[in-house]
Amino acid sequence: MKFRFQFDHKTSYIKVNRRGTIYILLTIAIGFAATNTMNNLLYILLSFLLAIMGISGIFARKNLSGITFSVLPPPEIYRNTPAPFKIILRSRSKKFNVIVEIEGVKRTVSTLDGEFQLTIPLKFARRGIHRIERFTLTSSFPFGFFTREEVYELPVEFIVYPHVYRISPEDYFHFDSLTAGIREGRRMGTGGDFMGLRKYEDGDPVRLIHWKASSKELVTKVFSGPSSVEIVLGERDLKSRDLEDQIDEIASLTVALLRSGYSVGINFHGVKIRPGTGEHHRIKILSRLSKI
Amino acid sequence: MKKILLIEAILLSYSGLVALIPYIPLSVTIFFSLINLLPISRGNDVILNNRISGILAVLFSILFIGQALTGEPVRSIVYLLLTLNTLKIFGEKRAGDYMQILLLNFLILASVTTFTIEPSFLILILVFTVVSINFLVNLSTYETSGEISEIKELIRFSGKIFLASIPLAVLFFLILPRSGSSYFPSSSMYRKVGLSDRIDITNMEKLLKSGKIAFRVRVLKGKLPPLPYWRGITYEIFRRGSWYHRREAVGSFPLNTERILPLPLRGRQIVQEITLEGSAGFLPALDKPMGGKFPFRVFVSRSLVFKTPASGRLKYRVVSVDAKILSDEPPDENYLSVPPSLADTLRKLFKDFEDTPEKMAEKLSLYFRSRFTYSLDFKAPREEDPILYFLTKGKTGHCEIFASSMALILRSFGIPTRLVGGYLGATYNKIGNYFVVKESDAHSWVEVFIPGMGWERYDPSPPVKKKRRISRLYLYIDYLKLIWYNNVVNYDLFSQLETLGRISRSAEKWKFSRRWLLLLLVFVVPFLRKRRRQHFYVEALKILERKGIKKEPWETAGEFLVRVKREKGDPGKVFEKITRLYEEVEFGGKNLQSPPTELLKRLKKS
Repeated sequence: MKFRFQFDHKTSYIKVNRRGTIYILLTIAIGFAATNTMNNLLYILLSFLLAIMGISGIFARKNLSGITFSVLPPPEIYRNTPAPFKIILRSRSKKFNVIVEIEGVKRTVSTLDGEFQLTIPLKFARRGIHRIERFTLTSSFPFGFFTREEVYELPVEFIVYPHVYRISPEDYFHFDSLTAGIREGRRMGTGGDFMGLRKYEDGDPVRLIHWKASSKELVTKVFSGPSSVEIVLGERDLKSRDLEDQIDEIASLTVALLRSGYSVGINFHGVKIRPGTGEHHRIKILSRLSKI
Repeated sequence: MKKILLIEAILLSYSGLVALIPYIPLSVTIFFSLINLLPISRGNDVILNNRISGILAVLFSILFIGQALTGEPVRSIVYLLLTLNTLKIFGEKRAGDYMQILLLNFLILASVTTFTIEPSFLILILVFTVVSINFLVNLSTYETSGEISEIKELIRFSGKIFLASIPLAVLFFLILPRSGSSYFPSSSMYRKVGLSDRIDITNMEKLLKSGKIAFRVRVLKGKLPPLPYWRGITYEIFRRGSWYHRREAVGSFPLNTERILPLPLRGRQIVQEITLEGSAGFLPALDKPMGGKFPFRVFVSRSLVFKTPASGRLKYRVVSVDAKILSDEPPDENYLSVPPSLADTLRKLFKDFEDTPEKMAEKLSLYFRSRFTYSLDFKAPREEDPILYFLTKGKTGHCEIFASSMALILRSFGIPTRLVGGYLGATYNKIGNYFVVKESDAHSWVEVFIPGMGWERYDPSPPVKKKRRISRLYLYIDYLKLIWYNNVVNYDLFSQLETLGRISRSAEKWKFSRRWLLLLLVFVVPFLRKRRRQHFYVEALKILERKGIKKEPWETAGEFLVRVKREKGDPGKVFEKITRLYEEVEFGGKNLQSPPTELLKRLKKS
C-alpha cells in the first residue's frame, strides 16, 4: 500500500511495510477484542497501539523535514565511467537512518547532524546533455512500520562526454615525421595557455613581463605557442565503424594527442573545429562530440 | 550490536512473565525466567538451530492447543506463547524473528487482561511500551544501517516517543467508542467475595478471618449511620444445617436512574457508589436499598443482583433508606420452615420466651447478647446438631450461628424470619473520602416479620470491637486503587457520556474565556507565525525577490548566493554576509541576539 502527497517542489509517498501491515492488523484485532469484551485493559493496549502509530507518523515526518541538500556533479563526466557526484545534506536537528537515492543509487546516512557529505559514483551509458530530475530521501525511521519517501524535483543539468579510454596515438600516426615538429612547436608563444614564468631574456616583449613577480629581477610570462604540428582528426583516421564507437575513439585520440602536445582539430560528422591546444580546447571538442 | 536487541527481547519476555506471576505456578515463572537467560549467560545467542526450534514449536503447539480444547484455554495459550517465545530466544535471530518475539510478548500481555484488572498492570504496560519502542527503534536502525551506533541517542529518542505517546494514548482511551457497561473477567482465577446463595453455618471461619477488601463505598448523598449494615443476600430456606436463598426475582431497578421504587419507607436517604473488589453473585448495599443506577434485578427480600453474572470491580449506585423496618411483601410458609425434630426441641427450650413477635425477638436478642460470647472458632461435635450444641453447651460462636439460632427459634414459635447475609461496619479512608468494607466485616443478622409493620432487623450477635487502624500509606495505596477501578476499569459508555456532559458544562461555564481564547487564536497565533516568517534570511529573500531574483526551492543558500553575485553584482556582497550569518545560525548553532537589521537595510538600498 502506498499513499502519495503532492507538494510544491516535492512529492511525498508513504508506504506501509510488511511490519506495518502486521501492526495495523494487530491493532484491528485488539480493537475488535476490546469492543466485544469491553475490557478496559485491552482498551489501554489499543490506545497505546494507536498512539504509537500516530506518534511514529509524526516523528517519521519530522525525521525527513528540514533537510536541505546540494547535488554537485564533478567538473567532467565521461560516458560509462563512474563520476563521483558530491551530495551535501544539511539539517539543524538530528536525523536518523536517512536513505539518499539518486539515479537509482542508494546510500544510507545513519545520523545526520549539521552537515554531511557523501559521494555517490554515477555512471551514464549515454553521452550528451543529462538531467537528474529526482532526488529522493527515504526513511523507515523510527519503527520500520511505514516508509516515508520524499521525492524532490531536481533539475541538475550537465554534459556527459564520450567515453575516453587509454589510446596510443602511435597506432594511428607516423611520428617520425611529426616529432621534429613537436619539438619545434614547443617554443614560447603568446597565443596559447599560460605555462609559467622564466627569467627575462633580451628580446622578450615588454608586455610579457610579469611586473608583480619582478621585484628582484625581471620575470617573463611563458605561454604555450601554437603547435607547429596540427592534426585535424576525421572519420578516415578512425578504426571503428559504429558511430558511437567512432565518437569514443575520436574523443580518446583527441585527449591523447592534446596530452602529447599536438594541436588538434576535428572534422567529423559536420563538427568542424580548427586545431588548437589547452584545456578549453579539449573541453570544446569533447562538448561538441558529446552533442553529435 | 545484536546483544542489545537480545537483552531487550529478554526484557520484553520478563514483562510478560511478571504479569503472569499471580496466575501461573511460581515454578513455571522461575523456569521461564532462568531458561530465557541462557543465551546471555552462554555468550552465544543461538542455542537451537532453526530446524530444531521449528520442530519443537510445532510439537508444543499441538500439545498446548490440544490442552486448550480440553481444559483451560487461556492458560494453555499463555503456556504456548511462553514456550514459543523461549524457542525464538534460543533460535537464530534475524529482524523478523525479533519482531516475532515482540509480537509473542504482546500477545502474552494481551492474554493477561483476561485474568487481571489490577493497577499494577498499567505499570507493566508502560514498561513494556518503553522497552518495545526502543527495541523497534534499534531494530529499524540495525536493518537500515547494519549497526546500532548511537545507542544513547536512540534511547533518548525512544524516551521522547514514549512521552509523546502517553497523552495521545490517554486521549484515545477516553474517546474510543464503548458499548454498554464495562467488562469483568469471569475467570475462575479470580477470587469471589463472601456472599453466595448458600451459607454453611459450620464453615464460615475462613471468610470471617480474611483481611481482603470486599468493596469500597463513596457516599454521594446523606450520611452513613455509625454502624452501617450492608445488606447482601437473604436466606429463606434452612435445610440440613445450611441456609439457601430463594431465587425469585420480583422486579428490576430502572436503568440509569435513582428513582425510589414504589415501596415508600420513612427515613434518611443515602446515595452510595459502591465498587466491588471481587466477583459476586449478590451486590451489597446499605440496608435498606430502594433504588439504583445500574441494571439490577431485585430478588425476594431486596437482594440485589446484576442482570448478568458479575465479577471484578463492578461499580454501581444505590439509594438506601436508613430504616429499621422494611414494609415488604407478606411472608409465605417458606419463612416458617424448620426441621420438625429441631422445632420441637427449640420450642421446649425457649417456651419461657414466648410472646408477641416483636417482644419475643427483643427478648431473644438481648438473651444472646448478654449470655453468649462471640468467637470465630465455632466447632460442634459431628454427632450433635450444631444449633442445639451452640444453644445448650457451646454458647460461643460467630454471627451466622447466632442469627441462625434466633431465626430458627422464632420460626419454631410460628414467627416468620429470614437470615440476612451482609457486612457490618466500614473503615473510613480520609484521603479519598470513602469507606472500605473488608471480608472480615461479613455479618449475618435476622429479619423478623412483625404483623402490621413489616420486616424488622434484629442482630443477636454480641458486639465485637474490631481494630480499624490502617497506616496512612495503605490509605494512599487503597485510594489510588479506587481511582483506577472507578476511572479506568469501570470506564464505560455512561462514563463517556458523563465526561462529555462535564466538558460541555465546563465549556458553558467558561464561555467568556472561550471568547478570549478565540481572540488569542485569531490575533496572536498569526502574529507568532509572522514573527517566524520574518526570519532575517527570509526577509532578505523577499528583498531580492522584489529586486527580480527569486530563490528556487531546490537551490541551497550557497548556490543561490553564487547566482545573486553573478546576476546582481553589488547586492551580492551584502547578501553574502547575510547568507554566511544564516548558515552559522541554521547549521552552526550560533545564537543570534538580534536580527541583522543593518544588513537588511543595506541590501534594500543596494
